[in-house]
Amino acid sequence: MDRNIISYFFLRLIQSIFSILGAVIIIFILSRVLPGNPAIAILGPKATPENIERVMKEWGLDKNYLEQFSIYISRLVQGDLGNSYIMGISVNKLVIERLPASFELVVFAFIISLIIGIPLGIFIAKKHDSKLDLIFSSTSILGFSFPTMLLGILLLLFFGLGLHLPVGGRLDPRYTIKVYTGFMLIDTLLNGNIAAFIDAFLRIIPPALTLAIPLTCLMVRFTRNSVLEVMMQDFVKTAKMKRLPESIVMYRHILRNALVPIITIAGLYFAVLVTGDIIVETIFAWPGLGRLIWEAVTLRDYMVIQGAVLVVSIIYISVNAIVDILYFYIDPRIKG
Amino acid sequence: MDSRILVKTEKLRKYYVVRSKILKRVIGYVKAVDGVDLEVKEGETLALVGESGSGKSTLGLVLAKLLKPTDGRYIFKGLDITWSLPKELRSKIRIVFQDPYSALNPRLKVRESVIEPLIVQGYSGKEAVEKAIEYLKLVGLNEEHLKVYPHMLSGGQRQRVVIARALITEPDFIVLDEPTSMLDVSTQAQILQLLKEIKIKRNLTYLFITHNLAVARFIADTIAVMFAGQIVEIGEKNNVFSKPLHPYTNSLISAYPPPDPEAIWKPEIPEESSIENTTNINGCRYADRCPYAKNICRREEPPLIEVIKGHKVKCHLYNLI
Amino acid sequence: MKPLEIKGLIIQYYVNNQWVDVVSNVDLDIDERGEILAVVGESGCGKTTLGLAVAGLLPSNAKIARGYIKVFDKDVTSTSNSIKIAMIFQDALTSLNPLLTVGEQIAEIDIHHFKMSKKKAFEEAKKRLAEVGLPTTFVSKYPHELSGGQRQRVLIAMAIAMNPELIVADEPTTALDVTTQARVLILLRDLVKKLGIPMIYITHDLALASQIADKIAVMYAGQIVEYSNKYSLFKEPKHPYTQALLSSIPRVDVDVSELHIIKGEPPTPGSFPRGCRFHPRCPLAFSKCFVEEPIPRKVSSYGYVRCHLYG
Repeated sequence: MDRNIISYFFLRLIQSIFSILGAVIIIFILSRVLPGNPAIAILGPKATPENIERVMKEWGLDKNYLEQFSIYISRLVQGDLGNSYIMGISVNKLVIERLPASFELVVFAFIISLIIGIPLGIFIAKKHDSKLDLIFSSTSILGFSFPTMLLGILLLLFFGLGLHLPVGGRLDPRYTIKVYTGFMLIDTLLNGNIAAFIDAFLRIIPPALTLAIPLTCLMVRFTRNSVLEVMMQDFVKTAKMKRLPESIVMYRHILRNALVPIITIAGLYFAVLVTGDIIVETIFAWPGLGRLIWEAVTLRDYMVIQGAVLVVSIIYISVNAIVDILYFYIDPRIKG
Repeated sequence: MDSRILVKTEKLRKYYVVRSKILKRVIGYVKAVDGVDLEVKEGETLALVGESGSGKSTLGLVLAKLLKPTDGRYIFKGLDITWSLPKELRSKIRIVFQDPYSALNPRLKVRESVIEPLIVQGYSGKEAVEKAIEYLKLVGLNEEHLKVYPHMLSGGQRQRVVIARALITEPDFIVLDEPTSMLDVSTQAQILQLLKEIKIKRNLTYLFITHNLAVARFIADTIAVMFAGQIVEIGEKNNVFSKPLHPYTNSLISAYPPPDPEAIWKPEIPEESSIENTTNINGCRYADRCPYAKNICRREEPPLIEVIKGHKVKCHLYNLI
Repeated sequence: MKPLEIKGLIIQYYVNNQWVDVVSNVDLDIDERGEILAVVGESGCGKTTLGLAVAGLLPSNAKIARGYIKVFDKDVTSTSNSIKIAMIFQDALTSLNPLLTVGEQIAEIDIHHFKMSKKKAFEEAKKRLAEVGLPTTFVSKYPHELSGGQRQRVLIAMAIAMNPELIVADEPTTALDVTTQARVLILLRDLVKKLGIPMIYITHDLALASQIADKIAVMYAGQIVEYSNKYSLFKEPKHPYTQALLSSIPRVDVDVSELHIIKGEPPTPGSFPRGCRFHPRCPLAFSKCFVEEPIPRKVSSYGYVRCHLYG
C-alpha cells in the first residue's frame, strides 16, 4: 500500500478522534442545560431540600461542571460510561442491551432504501424525459419531506388497525428466544423458530418503513440526478461509440461514476436515520437506543443521555470515516 | 530611443507554493514568473506568446496589478508601483480576459457593467451613461445595447462590451489576456481589427497575451516568447518570425500548419517532456526538450543576449543553430 | 462501393417544442480507403452534429429527417448491421472514464467485440499504445495521470483498436498546445493513411485542414457551401464565404497587416435566413440571393458550390 493511503488513513483517524471529543463536550454541556433536576425527577415533587441535596451529593452533581467533566472524562477513557442515576445500573450495560435492537432496525431500513432507491433511480434516469419521471420525481419530493412522526403514526394505524398485523416491540413475549447475536431476525432463525421469525419480521416492517420511506425517496432522486449527470458526459459517448453492450455501458461506465456521490450522500443521511430512530422507536415501542435516549431525557438521567448519545455519535462518525475511505478506493483521482 | 518607456519590469518573480495533497506540507514552488525583465514602449503592442503553463497569464495578472509579485520591480510611467498603486494610476491600467462569458455579471445589464468603473471614480450617473454610449459606439455597438443582459449578446458582442468597459476609464496600458481565443474565426478577425484601430485612435499600449503565434504576428510590434516562467526570446516581430534565434521559438513557429496545401508542413518538435519539474534546474529551462542541448546548457543558465539591436535571446547556442 | 456516401441529409433537433434544422441537405462522400475529408466551419454551423450522425451517436432529441449516410454501402442508421465507426472527441480528458485505467478502456473493446480473454486483450492494448507512440506501461495508468497530448493519443489508440471502417475526428486537437497539437495530428494522419482507414476530420481551422485532408467541405449555417479537393479550394475558392474565411485568418508564415472582415455573426439553427443563408453577410449578394436558396452546382471536375454567382 502506498504512503499516501496510509497517511490518509491516519489523518482520517485523527480527525475522527477530534470529532468524537467535540461530541463529548457538546453532549456534556447540552445535557447540563436541560431544564429540570434529576433528583426531583426521581424523588418526586414533594422531596425535601435535604433529601435533594443528599442525592445530588451522592451522584457528584454538587461539584462544579469542570470537576464533573474531568471525572466523566477520566472514566470515559477507560471505557466506562458511568452509572444511571435512576435505573441504578451501568450505562455500558444499558447501551449494550439496547444497541442491537436499534442497529437491526436502522440497518434494515438502510438496506431497504438502498435496494429499492438505487435501482428505481437508475430506472427513472433511463426514462428521464417521460411522464413516469415527472410522477416519480414529484412523489419522491413529497416522500422525503413527509414528517417522520406523522408517517410513523399512519403506518402504525395502517398495519395495526388496517391489516391487523402485530405492531409494537420486537417480538411477541410468547416466544422465548435464546440470544446469540442480539439481532432478532437472525436469532429467531438460529433458534429454529420460524413462527417467531415471522412475528419478528412483521414487527420490524412498520418502523423500518417509517425510516426507509424518506431515505428511499432521497436515494431515488439523488440516484436519478447523479446517473443523468454522468450519462451526459463525454466518456459515455465514447463507451457508446465503442459499441459496448448496453449493460456494460450502464454498469461499468455510468453507474460506477454515479456511485461516488451516491455513497457520500448515503453516508451523510445515515445520521438522519439515526435521529429519526428516536421518534420511530418511541412510536413503535422499540426497545432500542432511541427509546433509551427518550426515556433518559424525560427522567433527566444525564449519564444515560450522555452515554447513549455518545455511542450514536461514534457510530455516525465512524460511518462517515468509512465512506471517505471507500471514496478513496473507488476514485483514483483522490490519491493524486 | 525616442519613444518613452511606459512599462518596465526588473527581475520580476511570482512563485506559487505547492503543497502535498493530503497533509498540505510545502513540497516546492512553481516559478510561474521567474526573473522577467521587460520594457514596453508607449504606443507599442507587445505580444507575450507561450504554451499553457509558461506563466504568461500570471505575468499578465502581475502587470495588470491584480496579483502581487514575489520579488522584483515594476515601474509604470517612471514610478515604482511594485507594492502599491497610487490612486490616480488605478484607472490607467486595465485588463481584458479570455472568457467574455464569465467576465460580465449575468445579472447586470450592459449599462451597469460598463459604467461601474466610472461610478467608482465618482462620476454622476448621467455623465457616466453618456460616456458609456460613446465607448459602446467606439467598439461597434450602440445605445440599444445598454439595456440588454449579457446572455442576449453573442460572444463577439460580449467581448466588445468587455473592451468598452476597459477603455472607459481612459487607460494608458491594457493587458489583453487571450481576448479572442474563445471566438470564431470571423469574429476573431473583427475583434483583432477593432483592437488595432482603437489602439491608434486612443494612443494605447497593449500587452497582448496569446498562445496563437499567428494572432501575435498580426497584432504585435514586438514578440516576447515565454517558456517556464522566463522570456527566452524577444524582438521586433518580423525579426522573430523570419529569423527565430531560440530553438523553442523555432519549434513553435514550425508547429503552425501553413494555410496552403502546396506548402510542406514539417514541424520540428522535440519529444514531449514535462515542464512541471523545472524547480531544481540550474541550467537552461529548455535543455530537457532541446535537440541541440550541450553540457553547458544543463549546467549554466544562459543570459539574455542582445544579438542584434532589440532582438534578444536566452540561449547559449544561438549562433550554432 | 464508397467508404462513405451522404445524400440529401437533413438532421433536426427538438427544441422549444418544434423540430429545427441543424444540418440541411448535405451531400458528401469519401472515394477511397485512407482518404481524409475535412469538414470546416465555425461554431454552430452543424459540423459536430454531422459527425455525430455519421458515428451513429446523435442524442435522443435529434433525428435524421431525410437522406441517408452509407458506409461501404451499409446504412448507418439501420440498427441491424454492425458497422464499426470510431469517433475521436475534442476533449480527451472528459472522453475517458476517470475510474478505469487506460488499459481497461482499450481492452474492453477486444473483450466485447472479439471475445478475447482479458489477458490477451491487455497485450493487444499494449500494442495499440506502442502504435500511437506511448509507453506500454501506460496500460495501468489512470487518465488523470496523463498529459493532454497523451490522453488524445489514448483516444486514437482506442479508435484504432476498434478496427473501424471509418473514423470521425471532431477537432481532436483544439484543446492542446500548438506543438502537441502538431505531433498528435501528424500521428493521426499518418496512422489512418498507413492503415487505410477513411476519416472525416471536423475542424474550424482551414490551415489545419489544408495539411491533413485530401478534400475539404466548407460548412455554413447547416449547409455545405463549397466542396472540393483541397488544392482547388485554396487556389481558387469559389464561394464568397470561403474566400472571406481564407483572408480573415491571421498567418504565421507571412506578415498580414489587415484582416478581411466578414460583417455580422453566423446565424444559429432556427434562425437561418431565407434565400441564400449567407446573403446578410455577403458583400456580393444580389436580389436573387435574398429570395431563392441556391442549389449545389458542379463547378470543377470535383465537388460543388452553393452560390447564385455560379448559376
